[in-house]
Amino acid sequence: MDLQLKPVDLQLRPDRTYNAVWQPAELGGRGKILLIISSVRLVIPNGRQRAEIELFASSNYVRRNILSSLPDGLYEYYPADTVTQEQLQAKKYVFFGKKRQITVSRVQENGEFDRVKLFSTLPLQAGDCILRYTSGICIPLPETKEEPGGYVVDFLLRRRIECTLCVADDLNDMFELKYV
Amino acid sequence: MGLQSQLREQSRRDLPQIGQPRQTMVLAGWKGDSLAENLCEAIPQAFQPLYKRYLFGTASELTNRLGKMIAAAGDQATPIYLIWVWGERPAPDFRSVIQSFHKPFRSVTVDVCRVNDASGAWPGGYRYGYYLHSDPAQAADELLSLLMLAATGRGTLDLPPAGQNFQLRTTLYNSKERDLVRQLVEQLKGLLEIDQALELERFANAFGPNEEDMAHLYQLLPHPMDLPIPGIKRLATLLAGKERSFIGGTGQHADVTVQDALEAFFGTSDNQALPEYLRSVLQRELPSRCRSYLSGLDLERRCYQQPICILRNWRYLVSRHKESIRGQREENQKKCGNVLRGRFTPLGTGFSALLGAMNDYFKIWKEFMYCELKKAWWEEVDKIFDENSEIMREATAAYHRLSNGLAIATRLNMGPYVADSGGIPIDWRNKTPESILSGLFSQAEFSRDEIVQIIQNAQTQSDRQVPAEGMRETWMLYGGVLDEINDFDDQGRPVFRKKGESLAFRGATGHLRILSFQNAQMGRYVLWEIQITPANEIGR
Repeated sequence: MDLQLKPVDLQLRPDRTYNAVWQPAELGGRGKILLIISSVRLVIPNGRQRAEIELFASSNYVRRNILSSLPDGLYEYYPADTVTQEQLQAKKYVFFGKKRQITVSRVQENGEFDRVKLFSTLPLQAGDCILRYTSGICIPLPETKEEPGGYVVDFLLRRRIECTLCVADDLNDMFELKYV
Repeated sequence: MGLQSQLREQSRRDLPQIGQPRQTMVLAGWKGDSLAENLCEAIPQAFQPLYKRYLFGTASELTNRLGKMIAAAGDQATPIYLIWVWGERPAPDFRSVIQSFHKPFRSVTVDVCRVNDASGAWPGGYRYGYYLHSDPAQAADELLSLLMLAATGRGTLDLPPAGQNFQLRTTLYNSKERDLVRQLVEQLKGLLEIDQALELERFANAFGPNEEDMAHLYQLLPHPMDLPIPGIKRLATLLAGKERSFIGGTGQHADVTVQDALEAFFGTSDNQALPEYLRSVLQRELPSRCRSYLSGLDLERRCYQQPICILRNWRYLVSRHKESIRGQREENQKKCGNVLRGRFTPLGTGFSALLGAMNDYFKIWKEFMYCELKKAWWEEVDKIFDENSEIMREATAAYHRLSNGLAIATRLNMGPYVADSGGIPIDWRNKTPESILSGLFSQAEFSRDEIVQIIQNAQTQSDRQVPAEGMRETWMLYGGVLDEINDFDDQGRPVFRKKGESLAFRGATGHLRILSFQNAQMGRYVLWEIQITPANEIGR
């Protein structure tokens, strides 16, 4: 994998359109590349989804809805060599579909502790959400349990030092937190 | 100016002044005799009001000048005392000069001082001839001692008849000078050295974390109790289940260990109970946190305020501190393992009961983290020192500069003194022995014991070196009251013998006499030792 190649403008968007702009001199002088897209996590689990599209060097290459066959979910994508399938640049992530909300409630429980409750319509794995302390230290939250109407994780949290709940970086396109 | 001459200048600058001299004193020499000119120049400025200084081209210029001085003084004329400084060019014949002035009107006395290795025959008409030391600073002190004697009216001690030559040796004991050297040595030592036994501690005080630093750093870290706690019920269930279960039919209860409890209570990550996971995350995180905290402490400035030996030794000192922490860490690791393997025995299944049973673990967690913080701290200090080679270069330069000064100051050997311990740390960056000295001030007087000791030393010296040709006279000029220094020996006999206005040393030879110069207001700052030995002219 040669990540030293000059980064080219290659963007997939949540609405399944993409934008690919590069000159033949870039990407090692290739006239065309392979855009490889594969699922990281699907909204409705359905095996592993994968697609490959040939792209030609162009200064303005916008195509729409070409990826409509892929189900909603989080995908990773990267440019690859058309023959060897060698990965040419770092992976990027995109979520096809509407962002899913995770609702968060935080209420005082007893003494210096709050009860924090996360509710999601999709199941969350351990580490999908994290607790970030002001010091920058991150701690993964546990996985959700299924409850009527959705998936829940709840825990006690001391108020002594400030910390924020966040979605893990690679899932940022898939989930957003909403405080209620 | 060298350190030594600076010291001389500085300690003589504020010597006690003598009042109005009892005679008119003139210091003279040939114009162009550079040796003589330099000698006259070397007498400290503070004493210049005592005398008039002239350089003459010819003998008649000298006669004219003396004549003018007498005429100007008129009836108020006092005797004139002239010291002729003979450097390179031989002194003139003084017979005609003296004869020009008639006795009842005015008397003129001439002493000739010649530098030790000057060549030529002695002139006529002078009273006494003195050989001076070949070191100009020393010779200047000798000239000064003659002026002092004359100014206080003691110029005509019980010396033999005129026309004789002497070897003149003067030692000026100056309490301020001694004190300045003592202070200088102390300050230089303070900048350079520290007792080896205190090095490690001093280094830790300067560059190690104090309680406040530790508390501050620890306080900002998330503790196990700051972790999300999702498993209160899970732990309660685990405890209830284990109470009923047996392992493999052995009939024994399976204990819930503290580790089991932590895993249930806090959950796990990377196959570790979450608090243990936090511990490993923090371990990686601590160096950068210490680094940023240290950057706010201005360690550089602290470097400049430490004895330089500490900086030159920093590698060893840091490694000693790291070493001591290593042992502590191993100990903590062991303790932590023991606590985790121990049985979890809460007093109930409520939240606070469960937390209470984890207390031992929390305590060792804190100890562990303190230790890790210290380790990270010293590692960062290590790096900071390593990266700051500029400070080390400065320290090395300062070390050479100051230790040279210390060697000189120590060599001056101004007698014993008690070294002060420590003192206020000073920034050594721009310090030189000279700049330190110029900032020093002293009003130190000799103690009575010191004076007695100096006198006794002089006596011993004088006894030891009785010259073959005639007797040596040693006079001690003292500015205080003589009775103050008289003392009795073990047998109750007075150490000094009173003899007229002076005290004589009660020794074997009796060559030493102590003269009081209270009227000279010399105080207890100075003690002059003036030694006059008949000079053997043969072989000169």
